[in-house]
Amino acid sequence: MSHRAAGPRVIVLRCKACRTELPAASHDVAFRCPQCGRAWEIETGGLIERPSYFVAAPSGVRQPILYLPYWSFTIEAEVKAAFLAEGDELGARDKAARYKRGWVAAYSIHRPTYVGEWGAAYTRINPKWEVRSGHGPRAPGATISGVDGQSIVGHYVLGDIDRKADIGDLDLDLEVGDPELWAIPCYDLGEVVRCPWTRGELPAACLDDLSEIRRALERREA
Amino acid sequence: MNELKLYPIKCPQCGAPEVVREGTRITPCERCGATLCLTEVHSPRYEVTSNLSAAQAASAGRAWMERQGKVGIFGRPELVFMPFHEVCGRRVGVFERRVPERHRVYKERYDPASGGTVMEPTYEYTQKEDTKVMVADVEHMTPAARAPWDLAMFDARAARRLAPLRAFDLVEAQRRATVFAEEQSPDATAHERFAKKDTEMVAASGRTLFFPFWSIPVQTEAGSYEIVIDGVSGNIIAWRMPETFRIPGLAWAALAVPGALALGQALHATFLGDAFFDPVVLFVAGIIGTVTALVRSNRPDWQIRSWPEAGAIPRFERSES
Repeated sequence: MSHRAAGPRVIVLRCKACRTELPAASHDVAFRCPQCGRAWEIETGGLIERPSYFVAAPSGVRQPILYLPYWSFTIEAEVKAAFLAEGDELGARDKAARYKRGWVAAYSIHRPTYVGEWGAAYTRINPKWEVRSGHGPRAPGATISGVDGQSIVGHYVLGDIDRKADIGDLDLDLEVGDPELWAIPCYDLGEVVRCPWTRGELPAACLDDLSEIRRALERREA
Repeated sequence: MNELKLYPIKCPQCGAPEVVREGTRITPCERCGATLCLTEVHSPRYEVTSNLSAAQAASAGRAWMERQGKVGIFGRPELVFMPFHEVCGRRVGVFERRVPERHRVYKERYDPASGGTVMEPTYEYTQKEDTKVMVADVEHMTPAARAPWDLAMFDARAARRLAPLRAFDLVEAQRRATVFAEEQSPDATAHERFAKKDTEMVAASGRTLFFPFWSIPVQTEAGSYEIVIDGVSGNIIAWRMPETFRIPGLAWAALAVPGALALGQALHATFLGDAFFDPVVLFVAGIIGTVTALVRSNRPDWQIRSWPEAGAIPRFERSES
């Protein structure tokens, strides 16, 4: 095996806008700046900026809030022509038209399709959130890249339309927008984390780096 | 594939030289404290730690030999590290499949009661083209090298859960063990296994885990053989041992004699016509006797076995100390 003459490219994990050090765990590929709230993703050329948003936590809640990272994408799905029964075609058209935005969980989950991937649920129900940008909550880094998230969310939408009508018989036009890094709150109840909107629960054990995330957030708050 | 790679890097902020080990992705600069991130990294390698000493492995092997009723002289147990690839990620794709579809059709049937025809419902089954969208989790553990033993029944996932991991240091590992080389990278394994015509792997992460095995040479009167013990659980996973048969080879060779006589008798009866018994029965009996004798007497006195019978697995019991 030959050795490469040049070593790997090294970058300093620091917000390009405010020079704050970005919190990074070993598998993170995208980060939300804890100071200014901008999002940065590691590419081969260095850090590139992604649009960054966060969802306001539900008010009047006593449970401890934990923000988790999600990739979000604008979605344009349109069924142009189909060779199906009328009901199926209308169902598929309605379904496709309903998608405006999709989400993919950007944190590490163990067996996401088994324990539940909240990004897929958000894509289906499209919750009405109070979305903000700029300085906000601290959130852990994303462990999957925006490009991978783009591929996954496209298949979420296709799979959902396919439940209504076979997509092989549809003339379907699907466009997935550029990745945006979102921080979405959930309740940290110790052994489980609970979604405030769907009331879905995720065992803490299936979030790979949850203990590391909790420790890092507590350390920073202290 | 197995050289230990150390990459010299330079902190882009203060210019301090650093050395990072292969698989390291994020490391702090020792001089200025900046968090450094390597954009291109190889998959990390870990060693599955083993608490099973050579003496304990030999003891487990000896207990198994005793249960088998075999006698042998044990050689020095040798620690062997076998690489496995652990690949996680999500498999997405859109593919065509054919699903059966049932249609209700009506067929005309003659009705003797009325003397006319009636329409009778029945079903026809056809194959329908269906497009399936797949988003599935992938968690896969596979051997990354060709082992000299059959590892098919080694439960790497269970062994992975039993023991903690630590960073793999090839130089240190080679001082105390034989280390098998990976034949390809975890990424190549993931691509080869899961990226098919219609599907792709996304959000994939792979790492190499080196599992410990104890290989113990055993000298018996029939030759030199070996027992292989899982270095985590202490289970015997493979062995090559002499196998004794209840009926010795000579007895099977003796069976060939009546077999040959029966064949001769059958041929004699066929050509000369003075048979004591039915020639067909003699012929069949002669063939069975001769073939059985030849097969059994030529069978080797040992067999390569990869998995012991359920009752023959000696369990390693950890001592409290």
